[in-house]
Amino acid sequence: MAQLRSRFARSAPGLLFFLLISAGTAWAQQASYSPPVNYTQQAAKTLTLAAAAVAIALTCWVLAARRRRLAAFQSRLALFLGVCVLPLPVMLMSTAVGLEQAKAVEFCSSCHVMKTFVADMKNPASASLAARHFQNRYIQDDHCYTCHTDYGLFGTLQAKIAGLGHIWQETAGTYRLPIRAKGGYHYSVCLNCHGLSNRFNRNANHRRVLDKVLSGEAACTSCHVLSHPKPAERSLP
Amino acid sequence: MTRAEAVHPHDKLLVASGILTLFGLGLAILYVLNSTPYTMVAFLALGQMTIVVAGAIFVAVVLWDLKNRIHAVVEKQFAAGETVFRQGDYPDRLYLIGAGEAEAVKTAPDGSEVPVARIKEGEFFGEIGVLSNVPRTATVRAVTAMKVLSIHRGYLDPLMTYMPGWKDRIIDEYVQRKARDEERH
Repeated sequence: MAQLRSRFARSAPGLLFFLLISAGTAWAQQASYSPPVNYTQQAAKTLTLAAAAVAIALTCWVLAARRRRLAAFQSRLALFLGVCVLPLPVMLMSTAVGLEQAKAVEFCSSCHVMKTFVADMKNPASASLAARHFQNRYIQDDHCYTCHTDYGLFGTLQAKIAGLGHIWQETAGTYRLPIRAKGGYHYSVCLNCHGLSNRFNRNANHRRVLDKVLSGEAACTSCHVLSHPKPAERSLP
Repeated sequence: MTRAEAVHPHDKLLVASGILTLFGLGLAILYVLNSTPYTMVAFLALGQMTIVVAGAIFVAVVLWDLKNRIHAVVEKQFAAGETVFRQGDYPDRLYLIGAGEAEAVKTAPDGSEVPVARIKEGEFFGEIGVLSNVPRTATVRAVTAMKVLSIHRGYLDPLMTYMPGWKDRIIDEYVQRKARDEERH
């Protein structure tokens, strides 16, 4: 009996640790679902901020503590690192990180005129295409960007250039209401996901009009009209 | 009377490049932490430009300094009436007259010029500013066509170490002229 008791006493800490870890894991899984983290972006963001912080510290040190000794080697070296060397990766990485973050819905919805669109997309009662794609997670992330960027080599670049124009219009207030997509909506954006789906291809209507869509005589939006709120509902919030 | 220390014009440029960098990096951090269309435009249009300009200013200053150090001792020629340096300028060089004559004048508060010294062949000038690190105390102008040996201030220490005779002459002249200069004040 005493032997059993001592064996239990020896294994008790391990058992307790196991129970705690199991309970913690179960609680964490139950508490909420966390979407996957983009570790590359997180790392780039952390590196950018760290490099910027070091550059700022070096520059401030020279400007504050060595203002009268700027010609000295240490001052020049610190300024060289703070002004020439470190800002270069900061500039490149922050551009990359920022452009990646600019794909997020929050980025698009930070423009006043887009708030109605995003509100509709997130509205469970809405029947618009955007809302249905969002509610059903047909697109996992970057919902606006995924549907409004042309595929191909220059798709992203074109989207960014057009985006700069949108920012200018938002800032200068030169946009016209209701907001409408400029030009037609190219079928390749829809077919990139739907084109190879069985559900899409089994649909008789789709099979009937596919040739017309591919030849440009018709567009996906000719039938699927309600992509966003109706123009009359696109007023400013 | 003590004078304010001379500040090299390049120092101001370096400070400007530092401030521009801080501004650009601030916009970069703002953009990374809070990506909105406005921070995006601010960083892409303004932040990147200031960072590039700041880097260019720093490189230009370093290259200019390097050029000055490479041309530490150069012969220069001045025509009669030409100004070598002005009162208040940064004292970057010491001059030794090889041929010709120069005149040192001080600018009075009313703007008129008062002659204070005549500097002849074999004599040097510009040592007060260089050795005391104060702005030029007088304007020096060539009276006749003049040839001078122009010596960069960074080269003065090794020059005086290797040529003790020069050192004595320069220091003696410096002490006398400085005393005269202070008497005038």
